[in-house]
Amino acid sequence: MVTIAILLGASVAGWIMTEIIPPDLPRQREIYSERWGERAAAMVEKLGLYDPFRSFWYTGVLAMFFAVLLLCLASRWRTFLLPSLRMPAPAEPPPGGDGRPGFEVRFDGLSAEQAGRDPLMHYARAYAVKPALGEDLAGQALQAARRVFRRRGYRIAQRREGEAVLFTAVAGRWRSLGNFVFHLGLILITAGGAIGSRFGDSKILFGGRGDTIPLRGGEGSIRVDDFQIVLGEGGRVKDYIASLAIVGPGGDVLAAKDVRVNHPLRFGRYSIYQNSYTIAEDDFASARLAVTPAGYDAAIRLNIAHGGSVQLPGTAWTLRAGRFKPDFRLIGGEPRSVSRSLNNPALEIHIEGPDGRESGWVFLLHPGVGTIFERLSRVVLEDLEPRFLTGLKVGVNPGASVLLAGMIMASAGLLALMLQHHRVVRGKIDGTGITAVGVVSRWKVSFSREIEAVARELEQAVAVMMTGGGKDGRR
Amino acid sequence: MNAVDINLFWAGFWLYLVSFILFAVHAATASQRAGRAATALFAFGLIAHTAGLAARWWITTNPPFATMYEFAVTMSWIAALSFVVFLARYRLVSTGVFVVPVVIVVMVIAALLPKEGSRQLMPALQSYWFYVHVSLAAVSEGAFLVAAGAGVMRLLRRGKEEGGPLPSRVLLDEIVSRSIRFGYPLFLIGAIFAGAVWAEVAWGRFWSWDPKETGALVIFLYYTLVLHQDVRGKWSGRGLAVASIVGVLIILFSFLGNLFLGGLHAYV
Repeated sequence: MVTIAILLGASVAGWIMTEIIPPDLPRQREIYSERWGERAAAMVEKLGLYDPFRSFWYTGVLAMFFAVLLLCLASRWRTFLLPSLRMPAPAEPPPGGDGRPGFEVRFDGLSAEQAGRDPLMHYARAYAVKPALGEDLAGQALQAARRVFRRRGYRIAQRREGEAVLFTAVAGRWRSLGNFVFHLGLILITAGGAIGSRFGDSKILFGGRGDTIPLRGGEGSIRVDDFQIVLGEGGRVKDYIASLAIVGPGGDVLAAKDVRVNHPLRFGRYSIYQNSYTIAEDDFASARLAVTPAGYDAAIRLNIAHGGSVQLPGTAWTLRAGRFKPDFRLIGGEPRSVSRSLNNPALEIHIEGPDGRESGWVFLLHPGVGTIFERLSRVVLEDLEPRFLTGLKVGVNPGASVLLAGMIMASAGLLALMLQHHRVVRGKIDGTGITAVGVVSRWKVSFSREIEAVARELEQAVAVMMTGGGKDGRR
Repeated sequence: MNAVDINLFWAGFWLYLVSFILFAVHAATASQRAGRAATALFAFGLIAHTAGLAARWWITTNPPFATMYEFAVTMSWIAALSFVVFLARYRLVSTGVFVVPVVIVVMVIAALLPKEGSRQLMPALQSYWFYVHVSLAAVSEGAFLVAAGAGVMRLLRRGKEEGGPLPSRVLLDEIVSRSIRFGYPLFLIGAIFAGAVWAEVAWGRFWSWDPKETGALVIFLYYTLVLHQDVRGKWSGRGLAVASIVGVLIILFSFLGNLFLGGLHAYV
């Protein structure tokens, strides 16, 4: 109990910490030292508050939770398992009342109140005459009780005690087994999570069509045969699909799959997920340029691929495509891309001819801006298709199967806990009728209703039985 | 986007609101006519609410859990449906005064959220785990909402004797406890386990300590604590009622946290 409270407190603290402490603290330590003071920054770093769920204190709390759960289950396994495996011995029903629901169904058809007024019953009570319970009547009454209780999911154990038959009806006895299995599942989940976090590994690797990415263990490599981005409603990305092949060291294809989000490729200990995509820098698929050489009136439209060159018709000049920057900025005089988004796509072009060479940049979104070439009166970058790279997450998680087994066990246990309502009714059949008292149930109101319904059904069954409706009480 | 679903949502909302007024009249005056009218209006409200959800599903071609608005509408629908089941079973019409406002409050929260729907789900949501994860989370949170509604009634119930507009303390205690016990397994299986398995398939990790995931863990641990205390008899009656209300406040914080906490679940 205390452990759950501590884990809850630690999780709430971690939840808050992730919102108020920046995760980049170790990298930007000086900035935060200046802002918060050296002591505060050192304390935050020491306690790992910038990443609380991987900190030593949270790991310690999780380890404590695991140990307590294990000890609890090891020390109480009998308490968990025995109620499910053993039926409780039939015993005399306790007196009704005091919140315990119960009933009395009499063979003479009288209610308890009527029986109190009956002269014969009065005589029998006054002189302690016990009506005899014949074998046949006891058997029939027990059968009737068994039938009524079984319809409600009860199992009955009975024994004869002198003239009377004592019985215990139990429902929902698998609940305690469910409880045991649930807690065992939680232990496996914690263990699986710990194994995965200690020995697992994952990395995001990027590759475009035709690229080969080696797997870390040397078991082969991932070949990207194709990568497509599927656009849907409003030009939004609907899906992105990478056609992958796992190529063995000998060049043979060991596995192949179109990997999409939610459809990873599993190969041996590796799982390969479609994680993201990006645009290649310094590389592109194709570009369309409108070039007007100096002295010409009309523009020449030409398509060019990355690294390709085109002879400008009617001239001695060759145009060659150079670097590509998806989000061009000049930083320290150097052309850089500040992101992998097409915010400011720019293409470097080189004009080469017998009289020399010149280079410059043209911009897709700003046709009027760019290098002024001596040999060309105008160059416009009309269109550019970037080269997309698939972002593949390659992961190894040795704890996954333990974790999944734990989840399955915990779910099965939880379902048993949810569907099984543990109830125990103790009863007695003697010469006067059937008496029963509900002794175990968490829900007083619904249990009372159930006991009332059982009493009604038994009354009907006994009435049929006593009026000769057949040995089993049915007409 | 066709607004049929939104119109039906508002029709349901207004019917619930009028039914609440009639439930209040019934509770104050014991007028059977007001009670019957309130029940009938609430039932019509639920029909409109159901039709609105069905229309939304039809229009977007996805189950109505893809946005926070849809999730809130579904959650309020589950609370309304639970109330109808409760009414059919216990015939305690006057409890409408306490339960219907809960439904209305969740609908007001939904009304304040962006209502745009889309036929196209983002790639990560295109999975059958989406249906399992979100529907079970909505049902379980609906059950926790019912527990909190009964908890409010339990706090307002004075005296041990039966009678008056409120159900007996024993019955209210049972509703609070049973609702939590119904919601807890569904929450753990649906919100946490199914979510973790889906996260592994979609993102390559069972657990990322994303704010929403941490919120779900906190909810799970909180209700684990509540259940243990309930089983041991340490929190019962008013204690359990207070605990059920606090639980819903944690759920609401985690739910609305999407708007300001960010993370992998930061959709609207």
